[in-house]
Amino acid sequence: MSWQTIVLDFFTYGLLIYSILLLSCYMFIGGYSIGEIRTYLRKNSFTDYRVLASSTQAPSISILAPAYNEGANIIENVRSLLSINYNNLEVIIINDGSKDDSLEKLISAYDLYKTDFFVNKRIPTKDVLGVYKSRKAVYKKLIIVDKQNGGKADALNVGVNISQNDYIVCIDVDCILEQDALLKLAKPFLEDSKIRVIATGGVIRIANSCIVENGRLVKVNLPKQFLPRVQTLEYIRAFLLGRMAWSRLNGLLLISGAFGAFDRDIVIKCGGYNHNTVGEDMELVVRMRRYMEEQKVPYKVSFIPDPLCWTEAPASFKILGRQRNRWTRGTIETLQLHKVMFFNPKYGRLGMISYPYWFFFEFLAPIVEFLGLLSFVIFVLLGLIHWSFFIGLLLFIFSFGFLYSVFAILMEVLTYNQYKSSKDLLMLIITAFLEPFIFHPFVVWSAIKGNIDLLRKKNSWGEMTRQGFTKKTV
Amino acid sequence: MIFFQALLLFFFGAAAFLIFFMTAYLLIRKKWRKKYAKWDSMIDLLLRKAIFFNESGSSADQPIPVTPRLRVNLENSRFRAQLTKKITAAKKNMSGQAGQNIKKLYLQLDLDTHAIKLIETGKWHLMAVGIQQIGTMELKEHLARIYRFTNNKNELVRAEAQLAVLNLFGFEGLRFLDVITYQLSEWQQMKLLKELSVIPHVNLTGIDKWLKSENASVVVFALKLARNYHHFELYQEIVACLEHLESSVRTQAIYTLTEIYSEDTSKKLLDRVPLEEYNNQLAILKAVKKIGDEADLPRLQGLLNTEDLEMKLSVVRAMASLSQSGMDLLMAWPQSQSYPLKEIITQVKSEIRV
Amino acid sequence: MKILIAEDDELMLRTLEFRLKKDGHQLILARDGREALEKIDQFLPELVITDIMMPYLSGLEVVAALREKDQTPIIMLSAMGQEDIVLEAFRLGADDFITKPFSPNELSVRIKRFMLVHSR
Repeated sequence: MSWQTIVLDFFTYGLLIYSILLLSCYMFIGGYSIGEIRTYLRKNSFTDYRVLASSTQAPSISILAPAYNEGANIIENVRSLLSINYNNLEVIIINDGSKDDSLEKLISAYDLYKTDFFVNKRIPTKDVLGVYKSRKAVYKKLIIVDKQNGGKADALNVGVNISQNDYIVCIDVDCILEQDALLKLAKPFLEDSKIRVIATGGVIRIANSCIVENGRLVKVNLPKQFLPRVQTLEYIRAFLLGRMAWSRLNGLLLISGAFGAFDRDIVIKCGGYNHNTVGEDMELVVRMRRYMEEQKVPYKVSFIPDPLCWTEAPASFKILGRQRNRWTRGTIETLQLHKVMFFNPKYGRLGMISYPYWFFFEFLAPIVEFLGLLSFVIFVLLGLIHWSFFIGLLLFIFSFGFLYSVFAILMEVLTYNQYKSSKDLLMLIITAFLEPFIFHPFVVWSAIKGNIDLLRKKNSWGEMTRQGFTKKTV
Repeated sequence: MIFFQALLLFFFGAAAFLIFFMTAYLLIRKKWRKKYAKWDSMIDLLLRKAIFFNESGSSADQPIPVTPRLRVNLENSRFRAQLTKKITAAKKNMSGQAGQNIKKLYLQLDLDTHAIKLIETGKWHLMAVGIQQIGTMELKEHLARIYRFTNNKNELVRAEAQLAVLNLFGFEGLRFLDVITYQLSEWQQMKLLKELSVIPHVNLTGIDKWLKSENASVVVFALKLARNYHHFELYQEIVACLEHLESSVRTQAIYTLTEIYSEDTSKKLLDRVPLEEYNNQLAILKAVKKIGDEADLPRLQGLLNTEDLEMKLSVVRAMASLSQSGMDLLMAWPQSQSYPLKEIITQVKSEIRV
Repeated sequence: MKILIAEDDELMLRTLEFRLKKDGHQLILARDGREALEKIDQFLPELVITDIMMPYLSGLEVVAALREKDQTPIIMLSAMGQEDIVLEAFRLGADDFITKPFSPNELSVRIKRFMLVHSR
């Protein structure tokens, strides 16, 4: 046996085993999510959220919405947030040192005045320049914070410091929330008397091509452009199947940065959002879970499968690429920060299942895929393997991906059925068919670029600091 | 290679099957939806007729006229489910003669037998539906059948059974608190209190017993009942809960004492501060702010030196709102001119002004 | 009398319409808070009956918005029996409050009383 065949066999079988493991995981997730969704829907039909809307016992919630140069739409966005159905609520908008006239606009639109607010800096942040409230009684839930620019994580930490309530809900200011979004998000915190629920995640859906009036979603449409449409499919797969299964396992690692509720007490005890990573949302959940595991307190991260929050998805390859690049870096940084948990039985399921899954199938997947493809092409060019084998493997994986997508679409139809016409569903199925050719390679490439950027940043870190210094002295 | 081909065919085949299934499902549902719309208006008409039944001059013993078409449809389980859903919703919204008429229609159509059948299936989600109906329709004769479910192992079943018992017997129904071993979640407590809020209040006995229950969530719930219905005579028992082993019970006791208090309550609460955990300390300070008096000022002042800023803020709030002399004491305090006390006092001053 | 009813439950809305029409009132129906405000501007009802939990704009918000303009009498209708909501409704300027479940006949009587008080 020559060394070439050994290398070849290693690659072939390694890749084959990896693929089979990955597919098995997906099959398990798909199957496991069914039961969880069914139970949720059955229970939910008994839930009268009006009980919560009217009760004085409802958990107090602060919405934290950081805004940076959002002047164009800020007034409407805030109005939309203020009209959400929830009694025990404060809406905190954090103006993160915007360079535009966001603050002036808010002051005049909501008749704001600067208060003598003492900011208790339990989490260290950049300086707060002022805390504003409205003179009008109708806007008594509104708090606007003006602060020095410090990035999203820093802005959220300021919000956490200022919040007076038990739970915080972090959202992007331009998100569109369903009317009862907060009621649904708050309920899990009241459900368990033995296990502490430390966070609840909500489902995000794609708002492109949907009709929005006065900050309310009026009609759901399937995005007309290809890129947002693939992402619609991607989100259905991730939220309806993936997160549902993980939540059943109580192994949920990611609550999307665009919409989730957290126990403020624990957030503060953990030190708030980490502003040294681009994946602050994932990192916080992992840190909170790690904290609970270390304290040995039974806890849970809950998940609500109803579509609660609608957001605009990137419609161009450029912005999408940037987003995926950032997600990759966020994942890697988070995994790195908490590597002590890797297969560490001290951290229970978190260490034995969730973390390894993320490591092998979220972080490594694009790398394996990229390298696998590359080496196969090389082997084929060297004449070591036959085209037919190569294509056979690809088709095998492709057929499974397609099946998984179709399954996700079916689950969507059977549960929430946001896209009602058969034309829309046909479009979704065609999209599922095209995704592996157009969308997927790009996402993998963006992830690879994310890996490269991260490596580069690490190596050039010292240099950049020095540059900063010289600038300062000049 | 054969291996790939087989799996490949299998996956594509499965996908094709799912697509086929989806299409069939959508077609059938489209048909159903049209039918549902038709049924909807039929049911609405029937319900309106029932609600205003006596006003058209017919006597109460006569049956509500039902069309033969509806009788036929009644054999269809989907139709029945939809009808039941609408009847129960209407019953929840209307009382008086209108409510009685709706119940009459429900019984006349034999829907109660179907509710019992659901309960007998033993499947939790169906049992819950049946139990809910018995409660909403106030079918007291079935109490024995559902009472034992108040401690069922399935959370939804016992929750619905507890609510139904309240529906049937009002405050008397709370007797299940004597026996339940499962915890009442916060959510369930809210639902029970909501249900009670629309029932005419009668003299409620038994709270004293529940305050001593082994089940901590029952104690918490009893404390809420004592607060909502102003049971001042239970004052001593409530104060005793301040020393309960469960921190959630102590927290609720603090809340309840903010509503039910006597002259020495704030003193008793302040006695607890050094023994309590952080969250309850803050809750006590909030309570003292509401119910304390000038006599508490020296002890509050003693807490002013705390390192914790949130706590400091709460102490200042309490002192400032008790009386003018509280504010004077604050201003005379040595650190009141420097950070952070100065800033805290400024904020509290502006809060009082608003 | 011209009465606007804002209520998101179709059966409830129709029942009230049916009952009050029999009393000789002219009814305007709205199925959510936003529609209610639009129709109030358009038809200028003499009495507004509104549910509290409605899509888009809650009944409380309808009251607040209406009170900024004029003093049209408002009766609140809601499943919430809790004190703070009732207080909030009155504070915002509601004139009467009826808790669900309620009897349509009672509502009819209350409206008659309203007419008496207001014609004086």
